[in-house]
Amino acid sequence: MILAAVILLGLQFSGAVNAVWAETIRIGIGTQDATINTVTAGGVVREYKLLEKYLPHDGKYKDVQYDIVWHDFTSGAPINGELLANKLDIGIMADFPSIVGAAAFLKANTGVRTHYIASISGGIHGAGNAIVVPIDSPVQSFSELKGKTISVPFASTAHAALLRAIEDQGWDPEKDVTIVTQAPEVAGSALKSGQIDAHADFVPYGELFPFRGIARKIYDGSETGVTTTHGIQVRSDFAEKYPELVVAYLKATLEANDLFRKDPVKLSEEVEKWTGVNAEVVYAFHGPHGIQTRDFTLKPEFVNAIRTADETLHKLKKTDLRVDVNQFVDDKFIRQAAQEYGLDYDKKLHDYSPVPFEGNAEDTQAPVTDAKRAGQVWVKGEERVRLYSTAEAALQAATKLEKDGASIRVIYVHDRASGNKLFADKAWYVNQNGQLAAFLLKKSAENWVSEKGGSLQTYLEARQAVATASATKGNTENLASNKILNSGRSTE
Amino acid sequence: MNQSIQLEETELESFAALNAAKDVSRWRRRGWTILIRILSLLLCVSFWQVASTYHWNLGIRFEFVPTPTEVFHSVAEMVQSPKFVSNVRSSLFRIFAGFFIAAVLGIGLGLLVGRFKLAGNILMPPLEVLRPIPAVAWIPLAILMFATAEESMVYITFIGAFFPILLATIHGVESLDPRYLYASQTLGAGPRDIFREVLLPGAMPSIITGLSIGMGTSWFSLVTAEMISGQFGVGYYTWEAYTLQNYPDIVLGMITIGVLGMGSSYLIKKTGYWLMPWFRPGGKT
Repeated sequence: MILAAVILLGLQFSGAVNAVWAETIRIGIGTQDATINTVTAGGVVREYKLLEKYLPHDGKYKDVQYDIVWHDFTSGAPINGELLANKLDIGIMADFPSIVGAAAFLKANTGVRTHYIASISGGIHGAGNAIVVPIDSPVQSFSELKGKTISVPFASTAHAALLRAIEDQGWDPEKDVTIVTQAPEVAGSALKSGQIDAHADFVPYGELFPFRGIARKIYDGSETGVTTTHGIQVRSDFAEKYPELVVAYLKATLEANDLFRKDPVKLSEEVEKWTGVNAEVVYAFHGPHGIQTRDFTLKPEFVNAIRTADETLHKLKKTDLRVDVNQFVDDKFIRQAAQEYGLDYDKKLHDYSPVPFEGNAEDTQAPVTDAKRAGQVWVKGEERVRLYSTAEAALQAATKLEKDGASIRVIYVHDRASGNKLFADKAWYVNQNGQLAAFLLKKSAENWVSEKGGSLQTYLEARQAVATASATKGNTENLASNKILNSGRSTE
Repeated sequence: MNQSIQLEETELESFAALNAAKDVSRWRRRGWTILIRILSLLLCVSFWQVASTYHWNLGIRFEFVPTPTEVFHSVAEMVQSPKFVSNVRSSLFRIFAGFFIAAVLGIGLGLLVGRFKLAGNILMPPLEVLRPIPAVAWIPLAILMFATAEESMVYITFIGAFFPILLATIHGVESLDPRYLYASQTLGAGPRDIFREVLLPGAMPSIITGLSIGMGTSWFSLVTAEMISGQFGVGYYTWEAYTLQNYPDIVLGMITIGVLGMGSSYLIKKTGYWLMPWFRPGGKT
C-alpha cells in the first residue's frame, strides 16, 4: 500500500516536472574553468553572456524561458556523472573522459547517449599534457621514474598520455611504476611536500605548477606524439529535442574564440580573475604560437585521439562494451554553427597553423621569420606582449628594461626542437657564440651541444652571458674578461 | 547419609536439567535473533535488486544504481585481485594507527583535564579552538605537514577520533560522584591508587562510549581523506571507481567500508565488555 502510494507520488512528481518543461528549458553546462584551454566554451561564454545573445526567441522557442545552469568542475570525471544523472546537458572535457562517459551511458542502457560535437582546443602532437616532479627532485627525464609512484587524475587525457609514455619506455604499467589517481589541486600540495615522486596532468597544470615554483616539468606530452584535445559533448535527448539551442551555444563559443584571438592579453587577464590561473600561464596557451591551438573543427587527429582513448579504456577496465566512435563524434552541429556564424568549416578543418605572431619584432623592426627562435617579454602594465626575433634579443631586452625600472611579468622563449612555448626562467639553454637555443629538457640541450656544439647554460648563466655580451660590444678588454668568467663557470 | 547424598544428587540433576532447559531456550532465542537479522538484510538486498532492475523512481532514482548481482560480480573479481586486499590493508593500518594514538592521547589528556583544574585551563583553550575544525578541513594542510602520504592519512584519522574520546573521558571523570573520591581518600588511598582504582574504572563506561563514537568518526575522516588525497585504501578505491565510472565497484567500496566500520565497532564493544566485567548496558550485571 505504502509502496504504491510512494510510486504514485513519484509519478505525479515527474508529471509536474514535465509541465514546467513546456515553458522553461534548462541548459545545464558542465565546465572546467581551471583547464584554461577550454575557457572559450566555458568561462568566456558565461562571463560575457554570449549564450544569452544567441539563444532563439522565435518560432518553437517563442514563449520559452531559459534556465542556464553553469557548473564548474576540476576534471572531466564528475561531469560525466552529472551528465549521466541528467543534471547537465552539455559537458566540456577531453578525449579520454569523453569516452569514459560514453561507455558509462552505454552501460546504463537508458537509450540516451552522448555526442562529441565540437573541439575547443588541442595539441596535435600532444602538447598540453605534462609530467612534473617536485622542484628539488634529482629526476631530469621520464626514464628515471622507473619504480617510482606517479599520480595522475584517472580517466583524464593526461592519464592516457602517461600510459602511452610508459608504453614507449617498454615498461609494464602494473609493475614498473605505481600509478595512483590524484586530483590536480591535491597534487599541488603533494608535490610541494614531496609526497609524490611525479605527477602527470593536463592543461594548465604542467605549466601552472612550474610557473608557481612548486614543480619542475620533465616531460611534455608532445614527446609521445599522441594528440590531445578538449571538446564539447551533449546528451542525445537534449540535442534531438533542441538542436537549435546546441547550435546557438556553439555560435557563442565561436564568438568567444574570436574575442581571444583579437586580444589575448586582455582576455588572459580576465580569465585569471575567474579561474585564479595566472594570466602569464593563460597567455602561454592562448597567445600566438601558444602551447595549444584553439580549434573548433573535429580534425581526423582529434577523432583518432578519441578512438585511441576507447582502446585505452578497453584495456584499463577490461570491459567488452565498445563505443562506436563514428556515431559518437557528430560534426553536424558545429558545421551548422560555423555556417551561421560565417566561417568556412572545411577550410578551418584543413588548417593546422598556429596563431601567428602579429606585428614586427622590437629588435629587427621586421616580422619574425623563425617562430622557434622568437622570444617575448611581458612588461607589467603593458597591454601587449613585446615580441623579439630571438631568445637572446628577448633576454637582453629584459635586462635593459629592468635597468630602466620596468617590472617584468614573464619572458617566453620557444623550444628549439619542438617549438613549444616555454617560460624562459625554467628552460635550459645552449649558447653558440651568443646565439641561444632554448629547451625544456636538459637532455635535449645536451644532445644539441653534442650535435651542434656550444655550451650548456642555465637561465641565469644565459641571461648574464647575453647581457654582458651586449654591454661590451666593441669593448675587447671586457670581452676577454668575460671569456675567463665563462670558462670558469663551465668548469664548476 | 546415603539418602541425603542421593537427595543431593537428584537435586543437582534437576538443577542441571533446569539449566539445560534455560540454555535451550536461550539458544532458541539467539537463533531467532540471528534469523531475524539475516532476514532483514536479505529483505534490504532484494528490495535493492528489484528497484534497480526495474529502474524504479521513488523520488530516489534507482535507474543508475547497479544491481546487487552486478556488485556481486565485482566482488568475485576483486577477491582474486591482490590490489583490493592491499587497499583494505592500508585502510585498516591507518585506522588502527590513528585510532590507537587518539585513544592513548585522548584518554590520557582527558583524565588529566578532568582531574586537575590547572591542566584544563592550560590545555582546553587551544583544544576547544581546534575541536570544531572537521578532519576534512585538515586535509590540505596535512599533506603539507607530513613527509609521506601515509602519515597524513594517519593524522586525519587521528583527528577524527581524538576529540570524541577526549571529551567523553573528561565527561566521565567530571561526572564521577565526588563521594567516591572522598571515601577512597579517607581510606588512605594515594593519588596513584585513586587514578587506577577510582577514576579510571569510574570513567570507563564514558570512555568506552567515546571510543566507539571515535571509531565511527575516524572511519568517516579516513574515507574522506582517502577519497580526496588518497594513495590506496578503501576510500581511494571507491573514488578511483568513480573517476572510471565503475558504478558496481563504487557500491562494493561502500559496502566494504560499512563492513569494516561495523567490525571495528564490534571490537570496541567487546573490549569494553572485557574491561568492565561489572558493567552491562541495560542494568544487567
